[in-house]
Amino acid sequence: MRRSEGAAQPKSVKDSLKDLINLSSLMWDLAYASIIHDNEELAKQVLDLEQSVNDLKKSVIIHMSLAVRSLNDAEKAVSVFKIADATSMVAYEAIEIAKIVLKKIKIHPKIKEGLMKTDESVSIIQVMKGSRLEGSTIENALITSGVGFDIIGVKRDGRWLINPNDDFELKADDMLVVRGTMDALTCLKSYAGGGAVVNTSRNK
Amino acid sequence: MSIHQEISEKLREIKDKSEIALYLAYSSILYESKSIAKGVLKFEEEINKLRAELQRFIIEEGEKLGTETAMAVMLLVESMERISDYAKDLALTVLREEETHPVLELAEEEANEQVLVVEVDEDSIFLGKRISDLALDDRIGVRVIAVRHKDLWLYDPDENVQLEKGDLLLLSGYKEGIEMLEESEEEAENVG
Repeated sequence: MRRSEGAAQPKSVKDSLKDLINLSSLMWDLAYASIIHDNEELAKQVLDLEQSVNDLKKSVIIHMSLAVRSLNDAEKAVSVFKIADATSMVAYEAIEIAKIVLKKIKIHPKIKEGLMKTDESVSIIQVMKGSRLEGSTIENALITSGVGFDIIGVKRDGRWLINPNDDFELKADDMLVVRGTMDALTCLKSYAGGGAVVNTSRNK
Repeated sequence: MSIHQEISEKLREIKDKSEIALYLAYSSILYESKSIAKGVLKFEEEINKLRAELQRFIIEEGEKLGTETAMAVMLLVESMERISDYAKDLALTVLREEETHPVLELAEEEANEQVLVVEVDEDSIFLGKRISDLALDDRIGVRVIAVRHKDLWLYDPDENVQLEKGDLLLLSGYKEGIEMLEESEEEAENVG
């Protein structure tokens, strides 16, 4: 499992960059969800992730700098810096969007409705104590529920884990960011025992 | 169509296109592909046009919309447009033939979701097929993200598009499905 926070453990450029790309797309999904559902809690989560973005970007820059031994290396490294830069800028745009919600600038419900229409959605689901998801690995949840979904992020004890592996064990109070069809999400919600905090559409 | 519907449709189009522009931009770097990079520039241009249209619309109809909605929509569009700018910057590095670092190729290999770019040539298994005939999503979980058809980039293309020589397909899906496709393309080429 890769952690989005906690610069304590060193990681490779490759991992950091991958995490950064995944993180920025997660933030983008969350920010869009916060707009559609006018949900300040979701918007706050987006802002909460800013530090992770900064940490990951720093990690990419440090590792890349250490790997540069020649002018040729340096020229090649520019491409990595540029991706890290563009990706974190996307994450910062997600924060800007979340701030629209936090500033309580209201959007007409009919516009939000129109933004919502798609077959696949992103949902935040909380794992309740004693539910069928508690103690289950993601792989098991996939098998027993019989539906397809993708857990793109988990918030546990105030920390974000991005793209957890299939053997990741779910605990009570985990907050899951899940992508899937509406049917799959409804099914997973009943397994989690709680119900969704929020739901949003996403273009395929 | 009501003014609100019209705005949300435009907004969604801009959002979709800015996301695909970014996606194409990452792919253009990973594959060092100039044709994908050019696709990014096309999307970026379209987004600029759409943004201008939407902004004009909001200014004209602002009173009916209400200040808050108008403001929020403006902010959203600005953010989405900036994302397409970052995508453009990335694509330009490919078009300027700046070298990419080997680490970027490795990053692609390990990701769950992989992207495959296929150019449709004479021997391609895709030649003459309609997108609906391929049924890639149902069979192997691979989606057609975009197609460059007759020199036009089509995002989320119509199922009836018939693939021709020179078309470019941007596919995305799980590793196994993508590998299967790669193999059958290679076989087809060897036979041809």
